[in-house]
Amino acid sequence: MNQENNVGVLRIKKTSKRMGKAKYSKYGYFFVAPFIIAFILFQLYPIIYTFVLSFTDLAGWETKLDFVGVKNYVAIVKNSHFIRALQNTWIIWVINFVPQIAIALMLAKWFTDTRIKLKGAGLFKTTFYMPNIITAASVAILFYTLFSYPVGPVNQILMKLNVLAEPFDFFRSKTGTRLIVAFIQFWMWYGSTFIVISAGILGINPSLFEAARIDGASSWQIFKKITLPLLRPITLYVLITSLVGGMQMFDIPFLLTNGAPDFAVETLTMYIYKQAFTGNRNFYVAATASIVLLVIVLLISLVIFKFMNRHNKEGVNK
Amino acid sequence: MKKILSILMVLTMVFSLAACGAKDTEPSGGGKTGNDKAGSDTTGKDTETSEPSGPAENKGKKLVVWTFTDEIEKMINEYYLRHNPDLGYEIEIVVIPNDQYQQKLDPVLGSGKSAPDVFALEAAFVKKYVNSDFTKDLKTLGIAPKADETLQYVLDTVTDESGSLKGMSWQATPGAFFYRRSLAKKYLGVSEPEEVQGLLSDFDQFYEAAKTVNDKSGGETKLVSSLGDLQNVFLASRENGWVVDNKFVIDPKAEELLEIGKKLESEGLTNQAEQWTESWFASMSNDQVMGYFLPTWGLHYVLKSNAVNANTGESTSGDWGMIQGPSPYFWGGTWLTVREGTKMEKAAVDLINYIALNKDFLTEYAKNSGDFLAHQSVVESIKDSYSEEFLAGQNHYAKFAEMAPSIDASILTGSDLDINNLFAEQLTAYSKGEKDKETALADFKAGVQSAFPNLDY
Repeated sequence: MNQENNVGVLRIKKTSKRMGKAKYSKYGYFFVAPFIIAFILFQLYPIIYTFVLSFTDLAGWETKLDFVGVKNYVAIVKNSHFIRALQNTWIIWVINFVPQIAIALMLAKWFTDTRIKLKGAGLFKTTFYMPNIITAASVAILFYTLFSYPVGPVNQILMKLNVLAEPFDFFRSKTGTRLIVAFIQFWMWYGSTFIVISAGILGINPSLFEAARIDGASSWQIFKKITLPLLRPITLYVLITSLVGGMQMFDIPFLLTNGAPDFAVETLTMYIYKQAFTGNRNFYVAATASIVLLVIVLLISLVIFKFMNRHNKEGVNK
Repeated sequence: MKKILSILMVLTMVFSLAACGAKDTEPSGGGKTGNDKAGSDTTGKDTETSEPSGPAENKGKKLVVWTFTDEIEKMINEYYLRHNPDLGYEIEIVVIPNDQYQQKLDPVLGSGKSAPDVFALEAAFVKKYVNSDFTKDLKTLGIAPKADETLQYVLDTVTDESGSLKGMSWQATPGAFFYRRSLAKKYLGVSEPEEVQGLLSDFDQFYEAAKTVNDKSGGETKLVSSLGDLQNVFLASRENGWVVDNKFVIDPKAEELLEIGKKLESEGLTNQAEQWTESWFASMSNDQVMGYFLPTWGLHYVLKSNAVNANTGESTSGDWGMIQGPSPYFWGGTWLTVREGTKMEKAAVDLINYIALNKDFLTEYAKNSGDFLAHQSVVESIKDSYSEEFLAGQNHYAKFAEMAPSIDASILTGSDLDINNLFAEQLTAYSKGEKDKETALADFKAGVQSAFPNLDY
C-alpha cells in the first residue's frame, strides 16, 4: 500500500511543477473516492439490481432472470399481507413520532431558555440520549422480559397496585404490542431529536429573543412567534429523517415478537425480509415491495418538502 | 490530463484499499488460496488414480463443517480428532443458530463461495436440501449403510425423489412424555411409568388428567407447559405432510390440535410458558409443570441441563419418569450431508462414515452421552445396560428402542419449519379465543400462500 501511495504522490508533484502552480482541487477526488466507490458498490448497484429483480420472477435457488413485466406491481397492491404491513408501519410510526417531537420540542425549549437556566443540562442531555446507545437487541429483550406473561415485572407491579386483577398478556394484544413497539421507538429516539432541535434553537440569533423580551413578550409568545417559525428547516429535517427511519423499522418489532400477535407489528421491512429469506424465498416479491417502499418515502418526502418550503418563503416575504 | 490523473489516483486508492481489505478480513484464511494451489499441485497426480466410485482426493487444506447444535462439534473435538490425530488437514466447525441457519446456508450454497464441505440438516428442513442439487449422492462416494443396521426412516428421510441417498445420521429421535414422579403421585395417585401411561394413553385421557392435576393442585401445577409442547406430537401423527404433490394440505390432525388446544387453554390447563422461553426451562426445576413432551435428545440436552433450581439449588434429578404418552411421535433429528462441488470429498466421507457408521465410536458415544442411535446393532448390544439415574433407574434406552422402529417420517417436507411457525401463531390465536376456527384456518392458509406462492392451493 505504501509503495503505491508514494507513486501517486510523486506523480502529483511532477504535474504540479509542470503546471507551475499548486492545484489542490484534485485532492478532492482522492478524498471522496472511497465514499463514491462504496456508494456505487453497496448502494447504487443493489438499488438498480432490486429494481431489475422487481420485473422478474426470481425465487428460491433460481439464478436465471425471467422478465414478467409489471405483473409483480399489480400483484403487490392487491396483496393483503403487504397492505397490512404498510398499515402497521404507519400506525406504529405515527404513535411514536407525535409524542417524540412534542416532548423533544418541550425539552429543547426548557434547556435552551436563558431565563430558566436549568442546572445539570449536560447530565440530562446524556441521560436522554442514553437509550439510543443501547443496541436494539438488548432493548428488545429487556422489554420482552418486562412485559412477559404471566409473571413479568410490569404485570406484577400493576397487580400490586390493583390496576389489574389478573395478569395481562401484552404480547397477545394487538394494541398492547403496537404501543410497546411505538414506545420503544419513542424512548430510543426522543433524545436524539431533542439534541438536534436544541442545536437548531441555539442557532437562532439571540438578539431576536432579547428584543422580544424587552418588548415584553412572554416565554410562550417567544416560543410560538420566534422559535417555532425559525425552527422550521430543522423540524423538516427531523420529520423526514424520522419518516425514512420509521418506514424502515425492523429490529425492534422483529426481535420483540417477530410480528406476533397475528402480524400486528409486522412492518414493511419485516415483510420484505421474510419474503426474501424465509419460505420459498420470493426475491421478486421482496424486490417489488422494496421499490414500492422507496417510491412511497420519496413521494411523501417531496410533498413535505414542497409544503414546508412554501411556508418558509411566505414567512420571509411577510 | 487532469482527468487521467484523477482516474489514476482513484485506481491506486481502490487497489490499496482492496489490498488492505483482503488482509484485514481474512486473517484466518490468510494463506488459503496459496495453500489451495499448493494442495492441488502436489496431489494432482494422485487424483487421477482414484477409482470413479470412491471419493475424490482432498484438494483443500481445511474441512469446513456447518451445524446448528454443538453435538457435532463435541463429536469431532472429543472423539474424531482423538481417534485420528494425524488427519493432515484442519476441521473448522461453524455453529449457526437454527433460526438463522437456512438464511446463511442458502446464499453460500447458491454461489458456492466459502460454502461448507459438510453441513448438518434438521428434520424441519432436511427435505429441502435433499431434493436439491447441492447435496451429493453418498452411495457414489462409498458410504453404504446396511439396510438392517440403520433405521429405515433415518435413511428414507434423506433419500431423494430419484432414490439417491443424500445424507446420513447417527441418531434416531423417537419422542416420549417425561413426567415428575412426585407430582404424579400427589395429583394422579400413581408414579410408576406403567400406571401413569395407563392414565395418559390417549388425548381424551390426557385432557381429563390435565383437569385433575389443575383442580387438585389448586392451579399451582399444570400437566403441560404450553400448546407448543403438543404441536410436535400432533403434527408427527398426521397422515399427510403440509405439502403433498406440490399441493398444500391441512391434515385433520392439525384441526384436532386446534380443538384440544382451545379446550386446554380456555380452561387454564397449561402453564402459559411457550417452548424455549425462560419460564419453560424454569418449570423443569420447580413444581409448576408436571410433564414435557420431549424426544431422545430432550432428556440429555434439555431436561438434565435445567433440572437444578436457580433459587433453591435443589435438583429434580431422579424424580422423573418416562412414558410414551398419548401418541407415538418423533421430533427433530440431525443429518449430515456432503456439498456437491466440495474439494474435500475424502475427508467429508471419512467424517460421515465415522459419525454415522463406526461401531466403536457409536458405542462409546452412546455410553457417554446417552444419545439414542440409528444404528440398530449397536443399539441392540447396549440397550440393556442402561439404568438412568435421572429417571430413577428407568432404562430409557430400551424404551426408545421399542418406539424407534414405528417412526414414519414420510410426512416431512422441506417447508416444514416456516409452515409450522405460521401454524403455531394461529394455534395460539385460536386457543386464546382471539378468533374463530374458520378465520384461524383461513389466516393460516393465507400466510402459507404468501410465503409459498409456488404451491397449489
